[in-house]
This record gives sequence, C-alpha cells and structure tokens, in this order.
Amino acid sequence: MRPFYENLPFLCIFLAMLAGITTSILHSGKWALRISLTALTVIGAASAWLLYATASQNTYFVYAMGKFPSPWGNELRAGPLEAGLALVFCIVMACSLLGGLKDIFEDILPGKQDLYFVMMDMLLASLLSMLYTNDIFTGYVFIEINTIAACAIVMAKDNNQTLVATMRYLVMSLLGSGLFLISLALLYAITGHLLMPQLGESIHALFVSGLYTEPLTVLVGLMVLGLSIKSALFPFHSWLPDAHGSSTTASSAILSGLVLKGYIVLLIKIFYRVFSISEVRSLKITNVLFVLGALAMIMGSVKALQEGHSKRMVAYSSVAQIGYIYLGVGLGIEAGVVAAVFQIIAHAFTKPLLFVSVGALSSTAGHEKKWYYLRGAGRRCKLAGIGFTLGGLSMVGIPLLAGFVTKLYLAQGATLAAWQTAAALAALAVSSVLNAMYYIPAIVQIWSSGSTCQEMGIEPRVRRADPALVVSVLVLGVGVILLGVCYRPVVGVISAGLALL
Amino acid sequence: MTKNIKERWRQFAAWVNGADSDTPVVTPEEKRAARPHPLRFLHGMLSEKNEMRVYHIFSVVMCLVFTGTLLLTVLYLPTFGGAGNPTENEVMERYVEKGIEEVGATNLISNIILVYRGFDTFGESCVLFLAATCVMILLRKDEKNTTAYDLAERAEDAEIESEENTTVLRSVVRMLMPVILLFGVYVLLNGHLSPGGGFSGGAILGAGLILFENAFGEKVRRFMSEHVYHFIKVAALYFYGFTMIYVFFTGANGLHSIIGTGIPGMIFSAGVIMPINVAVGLEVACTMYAFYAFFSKGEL
Repeated sequence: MRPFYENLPFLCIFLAMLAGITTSILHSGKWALRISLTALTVIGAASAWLLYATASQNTYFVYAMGKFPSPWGNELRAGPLEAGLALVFCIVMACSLLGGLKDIFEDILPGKQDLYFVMMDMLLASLLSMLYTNDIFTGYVFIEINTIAACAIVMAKDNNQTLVATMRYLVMSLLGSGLFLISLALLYAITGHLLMPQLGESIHALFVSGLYTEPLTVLVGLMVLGLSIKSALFPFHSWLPDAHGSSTTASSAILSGLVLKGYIVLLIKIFYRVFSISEVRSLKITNVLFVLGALAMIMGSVKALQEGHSKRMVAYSSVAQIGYIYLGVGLGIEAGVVAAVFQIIAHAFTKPLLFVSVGALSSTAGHEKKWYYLRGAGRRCKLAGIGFTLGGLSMVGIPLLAGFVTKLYLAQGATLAAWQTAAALAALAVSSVLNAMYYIPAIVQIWSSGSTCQEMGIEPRVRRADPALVVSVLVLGVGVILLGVCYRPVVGVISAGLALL
Repeated sequence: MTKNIKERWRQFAAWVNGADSDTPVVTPEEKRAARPHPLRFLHGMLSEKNEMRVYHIFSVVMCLVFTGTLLLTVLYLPTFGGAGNPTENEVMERYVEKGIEEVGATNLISNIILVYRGFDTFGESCVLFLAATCVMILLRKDEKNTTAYDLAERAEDAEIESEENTTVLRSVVRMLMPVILLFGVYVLLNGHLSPGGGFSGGAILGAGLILFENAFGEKVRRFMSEHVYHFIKVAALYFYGFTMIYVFFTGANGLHSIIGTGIPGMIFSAGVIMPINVAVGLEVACTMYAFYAFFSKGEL
C-alpha cells in the first residue's frame, strides 16, 4: 500500500471528469457553477498537499493506472513541477470563472449555461492529465478532449464572430492534433513503446546506434509543429486573436492563461523525459523554436500595437508572451527552461487578470470593446482599473511584478546560451519597449477623465465591484505581485521539479 | 524641426487621449498606401483574383511538400510486420502471450484497450460525451438559432414523414429492425470473445435507432426523450468511471480486487470487460442518435 497522497493525481483527474458528467444533467447554470467551483477547490487543495508532499521530500513517483506497470499499462507521474502547475491552474481557472461570472450569465443562453461548465470541468481534467501523464498516447487523448472543450467555450457565446472564430480555431487545432498523432505513429514504429521512461531508453539507444535518424528528425519536427500550432507560436497564431478576442471573458482568460500552456508543458515533458535536453539540442529543433519565439515576441507586440479593440490587443499580447516561453525553451539549456516555466506561471496569472479587468471595464461602457470608448473606464470601476494597470505593468516588465522576473531569468539564461545571447537580449529589449508602447497608452486612457462612449449612444455607468470580481482580481493581482517579489521559492520548486523530470 | 516634434507630440497626446481631435483619422490601409513600398508594384500586379490564385498554389505546394516528406519518411521506417522490428518487444509479447491468462478475454484487443490501457479508453469515451455536449450547445433549439422559417420547414418534414408516405420504409424497417438490434447486442456482449465491443456494437445500435426514427418518428421520440437520453448517458459513464476508479485504485495500491478473470471463452468471463462494453455501447448508441436528432431537428 502506497502513501495516500500518491493517489491524488488520479483522483483529481477523475473528480474533474465526474464533475463534468454530473453537471450535464443539472439544467441549472448556478448549480453547475457551484459544482465546478467545489471541484476546483478540492483539486486545488489536493494539488497543494501533493506539492507539499513531493517538494518537502524532493521526490517524485509514478502511479500505474491498474495493476500493470509500464511499459504495459497507462501511468501517471507526479513531482513538484506537476503538482505546482496543477495548483496554479486550479487557482487561475477558479479566478477566471469568478471574474467573468457576470458575463457568462449574460452572454450564454440560460438553457446552455450548464453545458458551458461541463466544458470547464473537462478542460480541467484534460489539463491535469496532460500535466501528470507518463504515457505519450494518454497525452494525445487528452489533447483531443482539450481541443473540443476549448472550441466549445469559444462557441458558447454563439454570435457570428464567435462561430467564425471557432471554425478557424477548430481547423488549426485539429491540424495540430493530426500532426502530433502522425509523429506518435512514427515514434511507435521506431521504438515500440508509448510510455515515456521506455521511450526515453529506446530513443537514447537510437541516438547511440545512429539508426532511424531520418524518421526521428521528421517526427520531432512534426511533434513540435503540432504542439506549436496549438499553442499559437508566431507564424501559426492567426486563429488566436479571433478566438480569444471574441469569446466571453472567462473563456478568453482561461484560453490565454491555461489552455495554451497545457501543450507547452507537455512539450517540455516530452523534451525532458522522452528525449533529453542535449539530444533535443543536437536535433537543432531548439534553434527553430528560439528564432520563432523571438519573432513572436516582436511581431505579436507589433500586431497588438495596431489593434484598437481591447480584447484583441490583449490577445495579440498573448502571442508575444508565448514567444517568451518558446524563447526560454529555445535556449536549449536548463536555465532557459526554468525561465520558460516561470513565464508559464507568471503569464497564467497576468493574462487572466488583464482579460477579467478588460471585461469589467468594458461593462462600464455598454460592453463596447474599442479602446476609444473605454476612456475613463478605470474611474468607473476602480478595482478593474487597478487590475488592468497591475497586469499591464507586469507585461511591460516593471520590477516587483511577475513579468520582470521572467525577463530577468530569461536574460540570465541567455548569457549562458551557446550562440543566442545577443539575439535573446535584443529581442527582450525590443519586446519590452513595444509592450510599453501599447500597455501604457491603454492605462492612461482608462484613467483619463471624461468619457467617450456617449458618441455611440451609450450612457457610461459606474460598476460596483461584486464579490466574485473582487475575489478574482484580488487573488490574481496578489499572485502577480507575489511572483514578482518572492520569486525565489517558486524558482526553487521549478528547478527541483525540472531536475527530477 | 522643433515644430515638427511638437506637432507629433500633440498628435501622440491626442491619440493617447483617444480623441480624434482635429487630426484626420488615418486608417492603417491609407498609411500603407501613403508609404513608399518596394513591393508596391507587386501588389499592383496582384489583383484580388490573382491573390487567391497565389494562395491556392501555395497551399497545394505545402500539401505536396508535407505528403512528400511523410512518404519519404515511411521509406526509412522498418518494414511493416517484419521480424525483429522495434515494435516486436516485451510489450507485445506480454499482451499476446499473457493477455488471456491475466485478463481473461480471448479478444486480445479488448484486453489492451479496456484493461491494460484502460485510462486512454475512458478518455476516448469522454471525447464522445464531450462531442455530443458540443453539438447540444451549438444546435439545441433556442431563440438565436431558430427562425420561424426553420419551424415551418420542420413542420413540413413532419408532414412528409406521416403514415401514408412511408409505407415502404416502414415495412422494410419492420423486417430489418430485429436483426439489426440483435446483431448490435451480439457484438456488444461478445466483445471479449470475438471482434467487436462497445464502440462497434454501440455504432450498430445507434444506426438502428436512427433508421427506426426515420420510419416511426413518433414512437422513438416518445421513448428516447431528452430525460432518457441523459439518464442512459450519465448512468453508463458513471458506471464506467467508478469501475475504472475501483480497478485503478486497487491495482495501483496492490489491494485485493474482487474482479476475477473467469474461464476464458465463456460469456461471463474477463472481469469488467463485458459490463464496460455494455456501458460504452449504450453511450455510443445514445451519442449517435443524439447527433442525428440535433442535426435534423435541434432537439431529442
């Protein structure tokens, strides 16, 4: 009999799934919300326990799903990194739901609200599975669940824009899944395994013997291509602004904050557990990721700069921020990946904060989303204004906020890199300036006096912050500040977790 | 020079304030047109029609490149089914040689998908559940996606479906229906003994239900109401989910499990495989029928 905490990952995944299944027969949005929040609380608490248990002993464990261990049966694996990310995902998802609560109940028809929360529960289950899986095919199955649920939460708003956005998202996302599946087929053909530890051994043996180098190169390319399409790396980002910019507030926050990250975490796990970081580097795929990441940091910001629509601007800024993560991974060294994982966490707190705040700000101007009409919105909903200011400054990279620490660690990592140092530092500098160029005017705009939305025939109204919004902005805001001030323990857990991978 | 900077600063301040002020609004398109551009003459050559053509050519080239790469890669792969392939390892050996003894089903595929790799398959059945829920979000009748015209069309469809117009269909379905249902049930219940199982059996049952609905619309609708659909779907998934939790929990913790293997080849054998097949089959049948119903009428 193993210690009870080792059962937690498996129980968390099943709890999320059963919550989703139960929710589908409730026919009540309110009850569906309660079940989702309860599940999120329980899973969050369980993840915190797991984090404490694994981080205090600096250990990890594998958990066979059934009595057949690897290489025969499915397995989960949990260590400090997985548990910590699961905790972050739960907190962020709960806060995004709370922050976008009012919009969910306004945007989605009453008869379909319960189904929206089914998707949320399943999304959580798939994210947890992608974090914990030790089996690459389980990873694929839950990528599928993730794809369907993510498309559904865009579609739930059900107007012309979201339907078009969903179609684009679905096509691009399925292309990514398909490429990933083909790469798995190739991987299985040349190794005969699907479980990560055995895959790692076989791949290592192939590297030593020099057999099957061509399929190996192609499959790594396809895998990275598939996952980077799904996580909106720069040239494959065209679906993102539509999907994230047009959906309801909570969906945008969760898609930007969590869904994109799930795929990247899976990619990092594959890089570490199936390959090793030196083998990945020798395949030169990190160089490709580095270049694309650097381009994303700049092009995402340039696009955001041209955008007058508030949510689309924040969405384009996600493209840039995803670039930071890939830049870190692309450095091809331990320090770079630590910075990338830190950025995953930092962005998971910051971007939902921005989306939730923008949602609340635009509700003071009759849900008008153009910056032009949001003048003075921060004065009418102070809490959201403060949230947006905090998030925006963090994106720019002001010290004591989460975004600064990312840039610090990326820059530190870059100095150790083989050839990327100068390029990485330049990209960081340019991107920071570009971030400031669109976030600062936006912040100035929302705090200016007066209002412009009367021109549209909309009367500006003061929004009193409801308790849900207060909790959401407070938790996310405190998260952004804590990550910026006491970042050492977080980085410690990340490094320990990566060392154990 | 100074005036120019001042002017620009004023414009910038106005832009920050979000006011149009007195500066004319310049759209990005106009800006682009005003800028000298080395590729301008190229843009001139590319009319909208040509641009689409370039786009089409580019996509065809991309497809060819991808197809070519994949086909080339296949050349480097081990021969399919060849002796000594990497896939011929201890994993396959245990599935084939010990599967019947350890799990109990003579259909080895059932052993692999429902027991050895049971978590993946539970995930797959959740994919089906999610797909059905997605279709419900999109197509369930509501004020946004149903117009008076749609309602009129559906009434017309119901008219056509009425008794006197479907005599041939009804007589054929009356003959076929028992056979289809029986075959579906057979495939479901024998999933652990012969090729078949929950997914294929459920597909047959679902197809049968759809056929039945076409011939005897009212009768099926009276039986397959939304309540029944939800009840079957949730009961099947609950049963499947809790069985899996029990199997995983006892297996991983090394606890004694009450699930045995039985005598391989008997109908009641192979532990949880047959009940799970039935649960999956019911869910698949319901999902298929629900897809049909939502796409054709927007309700069950």
